[in-house]
Amino acid sequence: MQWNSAGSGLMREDLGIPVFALSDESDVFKVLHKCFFKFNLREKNETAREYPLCAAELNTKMYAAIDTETCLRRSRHFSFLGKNELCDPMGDKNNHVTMLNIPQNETRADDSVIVVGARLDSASLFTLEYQASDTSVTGFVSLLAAMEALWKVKDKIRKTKNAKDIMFAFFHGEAYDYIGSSSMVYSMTQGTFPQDLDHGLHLHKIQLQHIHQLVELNQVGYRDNEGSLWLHTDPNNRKTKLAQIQKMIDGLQDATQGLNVTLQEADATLPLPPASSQRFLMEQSDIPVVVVTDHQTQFTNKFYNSRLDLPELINATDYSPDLSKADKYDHVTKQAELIAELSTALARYLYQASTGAAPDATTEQTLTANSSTVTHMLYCFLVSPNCELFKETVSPVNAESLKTTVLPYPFYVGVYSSQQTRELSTLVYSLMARFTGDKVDLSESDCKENENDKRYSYLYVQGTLKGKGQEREGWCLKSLVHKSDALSPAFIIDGYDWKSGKYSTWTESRWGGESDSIRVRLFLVPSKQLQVSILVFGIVVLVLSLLIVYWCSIHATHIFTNRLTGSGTQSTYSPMF
Amino acid sequence: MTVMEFFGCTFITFGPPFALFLFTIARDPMRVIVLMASGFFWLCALLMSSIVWFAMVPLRDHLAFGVVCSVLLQEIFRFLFYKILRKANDGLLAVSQQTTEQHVTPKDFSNRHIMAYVSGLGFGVIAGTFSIVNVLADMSGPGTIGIEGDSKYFFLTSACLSLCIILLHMCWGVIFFSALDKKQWIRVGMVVTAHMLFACLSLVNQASSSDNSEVYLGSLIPSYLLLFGSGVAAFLTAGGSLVNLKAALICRRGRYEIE
Repeated sequence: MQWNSAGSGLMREDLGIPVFALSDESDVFKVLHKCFFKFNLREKNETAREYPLCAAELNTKMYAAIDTETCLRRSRHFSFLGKNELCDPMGDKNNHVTMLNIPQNETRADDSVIVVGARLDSASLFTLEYQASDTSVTGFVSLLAAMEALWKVKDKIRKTKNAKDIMFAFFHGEAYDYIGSSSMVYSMTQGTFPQDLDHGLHLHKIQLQHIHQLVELNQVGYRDNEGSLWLHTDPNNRKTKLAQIQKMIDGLQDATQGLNVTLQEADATLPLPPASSQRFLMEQSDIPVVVVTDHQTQFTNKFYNSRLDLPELINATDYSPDLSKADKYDHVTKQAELIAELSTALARYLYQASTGAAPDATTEQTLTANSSTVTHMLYCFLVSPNCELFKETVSPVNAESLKTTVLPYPFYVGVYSSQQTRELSTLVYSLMARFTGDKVDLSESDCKENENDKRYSYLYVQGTLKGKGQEREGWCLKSLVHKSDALSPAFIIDGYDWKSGKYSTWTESRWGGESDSIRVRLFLVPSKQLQVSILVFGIVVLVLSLLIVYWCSIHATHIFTNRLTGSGTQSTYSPMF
Repeated sequence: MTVMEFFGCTFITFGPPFALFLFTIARDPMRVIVLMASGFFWLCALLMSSIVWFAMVPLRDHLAFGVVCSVLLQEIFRFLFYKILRKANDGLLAVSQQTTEQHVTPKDFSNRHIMAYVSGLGFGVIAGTFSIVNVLADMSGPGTIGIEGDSKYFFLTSACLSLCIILLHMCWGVIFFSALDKKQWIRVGMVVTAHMLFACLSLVNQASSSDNSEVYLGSLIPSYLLLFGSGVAAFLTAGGSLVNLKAALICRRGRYEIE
């Protein structure tokens, strides 16, 4: 089954030449008008333009070569300057939050956790160029909105006896062979998820047998004319868990009642489309899985993982032309409305699946996703991160860098670092803390993890503006939100067989330093004729001057009559001298 | 890609000075020392002119001011070098005498034009190097000039003008030193005027563009005429004459006649 027939596979092609993306208009103008049109563009009947022709020199120095195995082996070599790292494994951090705070000393029954997941990233060749509007943003924004709605009734769910736990998971690095999900599944099997702690009060382990069902949101932005989404299942999975899967599908479809969203069951014979759930099924094939996407067979998104996956194309920026920046931020776009409906349905379904009972009328009313939050999120992730929602939700430390940011944060996962987290993952983490956390009355310096109870994480964010001033309230958010490493197990397992193809082995090369950094130079190449004539002329000048000066130097005594000043004696020429 | 252009221009600029160095200077250590010393004095002049240029903030963008100022400073340093060379004459004479019993004055010191020529060439080589070396560095690759609409003959013109200034300095050295020896102030003034003329001629080149390469001829032709004039003047100053030149041309035959 080929899902993305519009895709050309260009990204995986080895072109053998460096490729640069110029997104700055003035750069493009220079290349076209100062170089190409002026010197290189052929007239209709012309075979080739005359020299000088315009050429470009592209400079990107990357240290790694061949493949991950080779480059990691070479990176281990020590030189006298220390370790000579050539490449780094790709990856970042996954984020997840659970509804219930079950500590390790209580029991967590098997089949008691409902996992809802979405991916965060998109494949990308040029860090800031890929907006991933449908590829990932629609999915995780829907999930965040559903989370916000669901946590409004968290007390009801928590009070319900034997309510199933709900875990929201955001996987990072999925575009590069499921780095995030394979990493989470691996740590579940190793018993180190969600927290790898062995003392103090911490959350109970979640392992694969605890998972009751898995609902995943994929691309949901490009819907067909009826606005319907499709529920995909895995044929093998159906064989063993048909009843539960059917229940999930029915539940999801029931939840859409009265809402402007249709969920249709995809053809049961179709395989599961590319999704993070695949990683869970690979390890444990009897977890019931439903994947919600906007396509049944072919991707409706023609720009999956592409540079053209733009917010304009999914009606996420359908502003009328006279809107100011502030109005654009608040304008509820068509896509935001669609996503809010989907999130509402998802929240209602999760409530019902967790508590086992349909929500009553008032609860159902509460369980409605806020379309204005959705439109804010779409604006902040896709148009400009320098927006009120992000300003409220970042820590004071990150607020400074947010101020100077113009372009949306990249959806490229980048290389793994144990200390640092990408902006995308950090923001999703902060939003999760905001939607699920409780504001506690702690100052910025006291807002940190409690030594005795490590179930909770604490995050200090700027909060809303105080009155009309520039001061912000400052919130300390106590929540069950956690992040975990999104690093392919291939880099963790000792003696992993790189050729086995089990886990993602993507690495990114280190780049050249200051002196040989990334640059493009445009220049003219002179004609051979001009070059040869200059060279010949130079050689003639050299040879002639050698001959003349030699001749002059041996005849100097002839040419210059030595009129010796001072002594007054006149020396005359003598051939014998 | 433009290596040929690079070597062509290098040969044009440094071919003649190289030949002069090889056959007239390299064999005599004293001449090499004087060549280097005069080069050093030119560098001092450059340093002074750049300090002046830097200090005159409002005039920094006016090329003509820097040019005039630099020419005057170069001539002042040429004069200083003349003074020092003449003062050092006895000392230099002493170190170049190989035995204490040597009574013959070495030719270099008996014929004062030789040191004048050497110091003029030293001035010229360093001046020419400074005027061409940045251009040569850009020429080494990968591209040539012209994308901003400049003339493609810029490199060639730069090389030819650099050669011209090297040879001009050589001639001026001879004329200037001899004029000072004889206290002929008019000839000193003529050297300074010629230098100023050459420097200001190069300002013409600013008008050049890819469609307007002929502008270069406007500076090249007068410059080489000036070189020819200076060359003749220096030749005559140093004791050359047309008669001598003819004699030299037929000397081979003449030699046999004497036998």
